[in-house]
Amino acid sequence: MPTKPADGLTPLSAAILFALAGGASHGYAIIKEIESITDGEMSPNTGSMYLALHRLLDDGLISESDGPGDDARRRYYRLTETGRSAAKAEARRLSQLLRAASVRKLIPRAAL
Amino acid sequence: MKSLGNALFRFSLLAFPRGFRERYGAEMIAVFDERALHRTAFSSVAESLDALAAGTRMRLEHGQLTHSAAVVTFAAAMIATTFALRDAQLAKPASRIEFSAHDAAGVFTVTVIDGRPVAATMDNISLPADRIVAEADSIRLLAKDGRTAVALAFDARRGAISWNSREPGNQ
Repeated sequence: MPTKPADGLTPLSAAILFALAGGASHGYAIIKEIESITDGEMSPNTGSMYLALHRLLDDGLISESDGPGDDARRRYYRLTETGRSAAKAEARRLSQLLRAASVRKLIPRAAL
Repeated sequence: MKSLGNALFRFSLLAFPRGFRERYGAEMIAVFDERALHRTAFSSVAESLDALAAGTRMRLEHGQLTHSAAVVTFAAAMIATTFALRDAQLAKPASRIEFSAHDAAGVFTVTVIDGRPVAATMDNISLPADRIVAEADSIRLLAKDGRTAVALAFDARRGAISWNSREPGNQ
């Protein structure tokens, strides 16, 4: 299953890439960061998020590594160069959509 | 009920392909357990259903949906749905509190969903998740240097919220 449909990343995949744009992170911290950057509107469940992480790994958009050692179960995920490019492209695409929505008065201009 | 939710989530992981489960299962359980600290039993069941669906999708994507996996998935879904429907009558809708205040250093806001702080700002700047610290009956917003900038305390008995005032420039 692709993470990159013709019209962009899935919302969850995009949110994961945006969350990782600030640096490598582990699963729980990624969920917390997504909740934070979406003001609580998006709070992925564990299963869905690991399915999305698996797809992103398969597509080479993120890579994984062992953590610094505080918890052996934790893996850290980081953006690859391809992933960073995909995140930027997705941000541009969403920005264009937001501008179009603003022009059509679907959202206030201040939301941009 | 919480222990049932935990058991159900672990069972739900059987929906994922074996190789994936062996590699990521312990990590997923660790994430589930961390989230369980701030969650209702109902949302634990919802998490388990979500894991079932995600695992089944992964098997479908990899052409690994065997007969036994389908049986396990169906059985687990039936069990989880039974409990979810039973608890749905007891479950409260997600509560959302938007708290906004100002002190000498400026405006700060905190968004709390189901008793969990999910977002905060100081002077209209969103704080990253690692600068929002939730404790038993308080929330701390950390400054860039890691010091506590604002500490909010809940008094559940009186339904009151109090906080310490920052000095100007303490963000």
